[in-house]
Amino acid sequence: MEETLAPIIGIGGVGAIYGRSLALSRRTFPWLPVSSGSSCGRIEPSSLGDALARQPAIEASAADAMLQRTFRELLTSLVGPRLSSRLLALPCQMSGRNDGWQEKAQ
Amino acid sequence: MSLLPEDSVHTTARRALALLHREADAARKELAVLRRDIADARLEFDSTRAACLMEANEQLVVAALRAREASDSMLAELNALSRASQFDELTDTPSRTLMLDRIDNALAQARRRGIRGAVLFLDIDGFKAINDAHGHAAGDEALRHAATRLTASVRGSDAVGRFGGDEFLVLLAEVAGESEVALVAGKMLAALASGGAEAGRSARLSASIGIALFPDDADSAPALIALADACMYRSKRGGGASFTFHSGHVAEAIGAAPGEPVLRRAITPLCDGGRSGG
Repeated sequence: MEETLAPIIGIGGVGAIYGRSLALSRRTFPWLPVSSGSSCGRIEPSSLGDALARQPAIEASAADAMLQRTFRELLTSLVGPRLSSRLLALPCQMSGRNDGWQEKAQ
Repeated sequence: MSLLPEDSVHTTARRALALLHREADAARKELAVLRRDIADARLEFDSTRAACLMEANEQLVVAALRAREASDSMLAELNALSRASQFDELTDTPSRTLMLDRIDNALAQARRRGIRGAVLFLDIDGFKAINDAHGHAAGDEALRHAATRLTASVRGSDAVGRFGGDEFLVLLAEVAGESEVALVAGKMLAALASGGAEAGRSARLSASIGIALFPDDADSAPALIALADACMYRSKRGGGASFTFHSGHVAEAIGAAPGEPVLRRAITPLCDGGRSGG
């Protein structure tokens, strides 16, 4: 997702959406990590992967799904549903499946 | 008719043609270089434009999300401020302002529905002694303990709020009669005196309570509080660990002399300490 979006909204833009998604998802899953430099940092999959790995599978899966959903909703709120769908469809088309943050992180 | 020999004419023409060819080749090469330069310039322009667009997008996204974070933060501060103005920080009970508002609402309800309620003014006995002997932290703990115990003694529709210092206001929004109010007041004194699992050294408390009924005794929150406050002092002067009704006929109705503190004898065995006055 980062590879697809970074050429369009920059690494900082992707990092900012990711950081905000983490912050919003943390209200439901307080154990999710805090994104370092939430507004301009890179995505650090390792810290998310570590946090998810410490949780039971069901809890980790639910958090992963919420994080993805929140990311999509935020992107949609910024660029509109049509462009958001087109942008987010690209990674799926390229990989042939929808990789979650969890798979990406591990 | 030409004066030059024919060979000479041909030679001159060939030379001119060759010259033209050379010039055309040079022009073509120059044109190719120009085209390459234009293509390079276009590529550079496109890539610069793409980079600028990406940078602009990046800044817009970051700015938009920073604005949302700032908005969240301000909203949280606003909520905290709003709560701080409505709830006592130490005991997390409704503030004086909120209690006044609730009493006014209860009065309006009582008038509209023809029901009765009560305002209890409660002062912890011997609170200064707790502060002096054990420090302010112990005093704070005693107040939190009192708030918890008092709140547990009333219904969800009633309210307990810290009025200031070691004073609490209790609103019983709807009561069947005076005996019910006396029952709740006695329950509060017993709850304060009982200590409990969470009890520390300052957990066993006693209190002096003054009671005003509405709409009988007064028709405004400040007036009810003033009456209950005055009754509280009568309880305090009587030695504490008791409650006093404003209305003489009410005291008589529950078996006490008018204006005299009620229940001290009944509650005293439960209160070993904290009766040295507030």
